[in-house]
Amino acid sequence: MQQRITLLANTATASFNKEVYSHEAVLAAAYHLTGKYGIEVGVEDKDFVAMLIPKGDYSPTEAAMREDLLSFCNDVLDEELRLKLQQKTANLLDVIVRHAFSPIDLRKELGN
Amino acid sequence: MMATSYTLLPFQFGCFQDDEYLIVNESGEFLFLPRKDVVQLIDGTLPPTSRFFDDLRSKQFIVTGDLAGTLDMVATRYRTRKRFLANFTTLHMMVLTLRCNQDCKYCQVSSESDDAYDFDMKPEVAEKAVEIAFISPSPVIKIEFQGGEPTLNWEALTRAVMKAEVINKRSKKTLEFVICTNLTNMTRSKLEFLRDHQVCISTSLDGPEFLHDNNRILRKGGGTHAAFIEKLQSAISICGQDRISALMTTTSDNVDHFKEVIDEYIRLGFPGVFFRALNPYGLAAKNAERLGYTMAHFAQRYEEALDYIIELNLKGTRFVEFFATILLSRILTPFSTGFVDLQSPSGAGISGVIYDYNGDVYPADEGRMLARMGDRRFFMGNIFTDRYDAIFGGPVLQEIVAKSCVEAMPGCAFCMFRTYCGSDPVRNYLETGDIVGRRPGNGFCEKNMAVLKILFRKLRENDDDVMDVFWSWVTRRSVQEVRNEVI
Repeated sequence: MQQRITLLANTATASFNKEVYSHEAVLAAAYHLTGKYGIEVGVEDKDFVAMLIPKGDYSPTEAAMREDLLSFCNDVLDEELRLKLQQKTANLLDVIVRHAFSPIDLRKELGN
Repeated sequence: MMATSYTLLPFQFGCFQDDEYLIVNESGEFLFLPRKDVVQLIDGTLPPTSRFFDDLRSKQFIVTGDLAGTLDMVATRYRTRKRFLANFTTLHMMVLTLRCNQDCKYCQVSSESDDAYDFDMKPEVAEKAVEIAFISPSPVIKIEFQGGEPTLNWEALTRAVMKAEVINKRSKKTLEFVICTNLTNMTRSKLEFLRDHQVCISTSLDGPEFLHDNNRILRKGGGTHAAFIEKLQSAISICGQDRISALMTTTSDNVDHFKEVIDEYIRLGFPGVFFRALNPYGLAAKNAERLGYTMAHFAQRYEEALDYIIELNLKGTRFVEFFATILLSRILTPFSTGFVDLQSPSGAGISGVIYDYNGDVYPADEGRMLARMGDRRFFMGNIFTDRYDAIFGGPVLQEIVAKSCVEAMPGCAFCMFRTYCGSDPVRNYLETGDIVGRRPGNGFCEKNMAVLKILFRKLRENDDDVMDVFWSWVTRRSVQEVRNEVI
């Protein structure tokens, strides 16, 4: 299984298979929930494991926690996609910003 | 599927609603498309037969031809969006006094009683601040007089205005003045001075009397609405309606009465309203439990108010919501809007700066407020002891600039709204002890996200009437002009 979620004693846990998911994507998605949860991301065997514990001023029902956890899992997928996009376009973004602020010879920069 | 031959350009994306994603690029162009198409797009497998392909190409999300030419165009638009950087500091705010005749329950600036003269800016300090302001390379110098209530230190105000006019005979910049006043201390002679020197008036109005007088009260007791109306009428007759604008502050008292607030603004001849949320400073923070509301509540009421304003415009009453107009200008045009409170890097210090009554310089009023509370973290220097380049090129401003670019901030860098947004380093510091701050749970981020989502929902619906109103705001024309119906 590539992804598992569990809810137990006011703690939500999601596991992500290391062969499928990257550490960066799990951490980036976890960041979005840090307003509501204290989050620990660790490694267990073949998985990255994220444990979500509601913060003092947040008292979610079990259904709300499940919703948060599912949203977190979808976020991880989006973060994977963002990493892929970044890998493909980071160089071009640098060129755009450099050209915007100090005009350069684009054809020379791009090697054609 | 075989890869198609297009080059992917950088963009941000996010889930907008259900399975529909919003993508936004560095040009400020946007497009809605289903997640599966975003995946294909990024994988490089989106077929040219896709119904989105031509839009993606024309909006510079992908390139199929001349890469250098397209990047040149994107970079030009990027530079245009960051145009506010080129001029450096335009807005120079001067705290003429901390004294105030009012004791508003949400006052953010810790005003003092009207006899606390030690907190007045001396005229020579005002003149020196003007000299410093004119060193800015900006071709536009806007001097804004703040307080306390700045009319209580009239000599400093008049000396600053006249000094600026003298200097500008040489400098030949576009010179503008604004006074931020509650109006209740205004006199005919003061208004005549403001008229003669083309000083614009920015005042405060929280709605009709039953709302305004909840929080905007005199220090000696009693409401201010009646006096405000009386002085406003004088100001209009002497200075002209077009020289007067008003700001409202949203509290728990008026958040459920935006319609009444709008009607009051229209009744008094104001061209628009800025629904300003409460910020966590001064008495606003101290009285947050009584005055506060959730951002979700604010957003819900804001959307209802926006719908009401749109309806008014369609019925022939031109009226603008200014925050929406700023954001729509960023979304629908490539131009820089110059809104100091929402820029990247932050406008604090580089677009606007504030001179305290004693000549101390801070990047924003909130930084000055922190100093009043004992934390001089944002002290940039003093106009008598430090040179211009030490104040404006010093470590405080350099750190703010380096740490307030949303393009590199956690929680912002990959946000779908990043191209249109900005940061508030002083508020971040106040809330987290760190200039970079944290986005999850942050009220500033929550509000901007909520308002942007409301606007993008309307842009996605693409209703002809609503779009006509939006374009009329962005282009400062009437709906009839936008529709080409003017004979």
